Amino acid sequence: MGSVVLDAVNSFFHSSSGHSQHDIFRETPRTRNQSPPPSRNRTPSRPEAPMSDSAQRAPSSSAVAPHQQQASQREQNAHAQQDARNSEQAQPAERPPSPPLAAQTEPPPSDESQPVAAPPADPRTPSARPRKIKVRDLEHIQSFATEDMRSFSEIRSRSRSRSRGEKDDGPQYEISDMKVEHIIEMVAGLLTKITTTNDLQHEHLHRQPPSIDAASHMNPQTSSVLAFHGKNVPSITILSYLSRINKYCPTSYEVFLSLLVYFDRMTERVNAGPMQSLREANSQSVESRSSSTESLGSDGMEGVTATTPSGTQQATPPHSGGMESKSSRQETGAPGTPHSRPTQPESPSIPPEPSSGIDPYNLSHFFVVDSFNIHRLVIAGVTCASKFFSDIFYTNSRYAKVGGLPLPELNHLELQFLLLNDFRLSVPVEEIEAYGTMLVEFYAREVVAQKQAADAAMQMRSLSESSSDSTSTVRAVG
Amino acid sequence: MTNRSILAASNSSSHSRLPASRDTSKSSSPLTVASQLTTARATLWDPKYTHKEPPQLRLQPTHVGTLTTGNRTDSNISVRSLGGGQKVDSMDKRHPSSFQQLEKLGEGTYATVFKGRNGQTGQFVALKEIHLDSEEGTPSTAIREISLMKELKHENIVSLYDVIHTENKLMLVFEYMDKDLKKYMDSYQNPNGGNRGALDAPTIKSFMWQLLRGIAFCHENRVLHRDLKPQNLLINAQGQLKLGDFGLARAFGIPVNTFSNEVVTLWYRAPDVLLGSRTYNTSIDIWSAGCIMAEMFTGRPLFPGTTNEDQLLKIFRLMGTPSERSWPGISSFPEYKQTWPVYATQELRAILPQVDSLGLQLLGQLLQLRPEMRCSAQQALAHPWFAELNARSQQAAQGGFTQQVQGMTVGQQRAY
Repeated sequence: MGSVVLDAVNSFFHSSSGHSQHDIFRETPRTRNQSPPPSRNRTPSRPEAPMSDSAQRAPSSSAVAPHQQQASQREQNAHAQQDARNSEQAQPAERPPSPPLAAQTEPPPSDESQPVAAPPADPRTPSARPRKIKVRDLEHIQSFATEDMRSFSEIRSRSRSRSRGEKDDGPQYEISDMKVEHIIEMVAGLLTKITTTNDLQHEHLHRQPPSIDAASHMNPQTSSVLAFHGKNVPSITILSYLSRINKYCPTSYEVFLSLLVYFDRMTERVNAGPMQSLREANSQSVESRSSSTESLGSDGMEGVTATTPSGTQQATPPHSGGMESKSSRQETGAPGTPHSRPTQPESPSIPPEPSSGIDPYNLSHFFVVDSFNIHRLVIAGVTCASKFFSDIFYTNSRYAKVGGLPLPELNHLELQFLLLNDFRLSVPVEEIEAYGTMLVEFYAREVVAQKQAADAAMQMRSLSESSSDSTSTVRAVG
Repeated sequence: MTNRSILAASNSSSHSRLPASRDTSKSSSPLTVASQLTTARATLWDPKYTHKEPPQLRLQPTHVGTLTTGNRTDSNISVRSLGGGQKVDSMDKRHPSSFQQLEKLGEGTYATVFKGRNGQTGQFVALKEIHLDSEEGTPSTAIREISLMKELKHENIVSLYDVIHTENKLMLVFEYMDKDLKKYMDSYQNPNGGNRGALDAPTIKSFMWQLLRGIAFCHENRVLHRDLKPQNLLINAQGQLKLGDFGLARAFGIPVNTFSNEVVTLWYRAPDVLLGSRTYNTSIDIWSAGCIMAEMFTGRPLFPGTTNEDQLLKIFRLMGTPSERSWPGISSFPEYKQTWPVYATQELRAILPQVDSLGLQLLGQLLQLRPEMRCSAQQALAHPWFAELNARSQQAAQGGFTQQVQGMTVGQQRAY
């Protein structure tokens, strides 16, 4: 029974050579950088790369043998569950096709005025909503989303917002009964939205995978961040990637949900300091021009609206180059030298490379979830979270195979992921539940509404495509 | 629509904007760029759509400072600062220091534990060295132990001070404890005689009290230890008992179905787990506590089974063979057998004559076959058997000074 799973993996890899593991990371070169950084295992250089080879030489034997010796117990559990899941999957297409989730380049239909052909309302949805709603599946969300469009559309009037805010924060959505596949679809929808938004800023971030040489000069945190940043955008969609992971490394839903929490924590941990400095630098320059001060929240990158006066761009940063935070060279960190902190860029011991094109407010060390790093973040995150949350997990060699990257790279990424989370993977129940509820709301308002908008505006597609860029930018700002 | 098409869209758009943005950097001020980036929180809790506040990002301050280990030749090990702009607590602001690696204290399946000395302070520490296997990656035991112990700060739980890492090794720096309960019992000289390995009653009471306090704290914080046994309870020279080894522990609370029943060392494993339950909860740790309590009185494990089946029968021989009548639903457990010999329930008093009647009463509440009948750690602590300790601890809390319990210091000890 132990071979069922690996056979499945093998057949997957064999049957779809176009998707054999390393190909995932090969396609769609998008860097504008003409001098590509030194290769970091991006190419399929693994000598034993077994995927496209004959089935007889199946890697299952090599993958299984040491594994079983070490952790047969755990594997048995894993396989037991997996068998169950496989049989579940074998039942053909019980579930009606779900709305296409991935790509939101079009603006979300935020209008209540738009006529919507509402599907028949779910009779079980009571008119007075209970505090806790057990979500059955995506169709369930669709049904209550279309029934109560107003709850999921933009808050327009103050009166309405007050009545909603005081009386009711909206129901809590309990998603633990949903199939993992459905939850994955919602997670993928959100991540796709995030990456799409952040990709728009990609050219301003000046990131590139660190060369070994550069990495040694780098703040360890920066090199941890950049470890996830691929040279190219993998061709596989986030949804397909998550589904693939769930298929070959099935696990419980909170592993996928917790990814969102971890990404947010990593963002906060890495960016809070630099963001603060950036604001301070900005407001100083604003003050020097006796302009009005910024009113940016302290919450870092949480979708803060940029109210930057247009004159502030020429501000001289108080800590020019300090943002690079290159002062802490691990090996040379002499005893007694205080560790550099991104918040308070001290005088760097190693001056930043004088590169003419580089913005003094270098954003390259920001942690930004985008299409260049999302796949690596996901596979590293699932690897860590499965080990933390679930009694069912797999070896890294398996996660690497499923994730389509070399084992040494995954091992490295796993460690970087843990470091960027300060090795704290605990997520309070309330927090996970809050993310679950908001994910349902997100799905309800963004995806369902979008599908309807797409249906309604089928013939206007070309128009919306041409304007998609500007509108989505506006949305991200607003 | 596929990911590719999104990317194509954004790609073409950036193409068209590129020259402009290069020329007039005004349109791409770093702050503007940064504020256009988004996160899951920002998207989910978009104030345009919701009045709810996102949950607090209670990020703990991380360690600042580079720790280099002296007397080590294999690699240079250093703590990476992940300060990220967090305010660093002054307690954590330690100067770079080094650890001197002393004798080996023990060797587990995935780790080796050494005694160490902090070169700066001279304090002893326990260094748990975890090898990072290439196939397995970072062991789940290490991920859990670090993640959970970073959240669980309590005087009856061993403190994790630091995590030091290299690419192929993790080193956890723990508070140093003199010995585990097993060794403590083995080397114990009972002033009143008694069985070899048996402890005296006041010590047992103090240890049980501390053990239950540690368990209660875990359970309050929604953590199951899942491997309580004398080897994982650590004792220091002050007579403090602390829970250690959280490698099998896990968080609970979210409805999940992936609990393994291969948890807890056989002798301390609860009957419902032995029966194949995967929906166990905090009561699993309470059973172990009961087994440990009996063992401290006798010096011998209460149920030294050899196999899963044998373990169950040893339990039934004392507690009586359960039936659908005494335990509704038992026949639906995976390991339920109709062929079990039918044992009658025995009096605990007969097997443990050395335990006073209040103690037996508590033990009976800990060692309930049915998990839902077992008392909670909090309830156990409120048992009259602990009346004296609770009263003293309350006094101490009011008086604000460290308190002597049975000649042992029970109080916060900073060893580092």
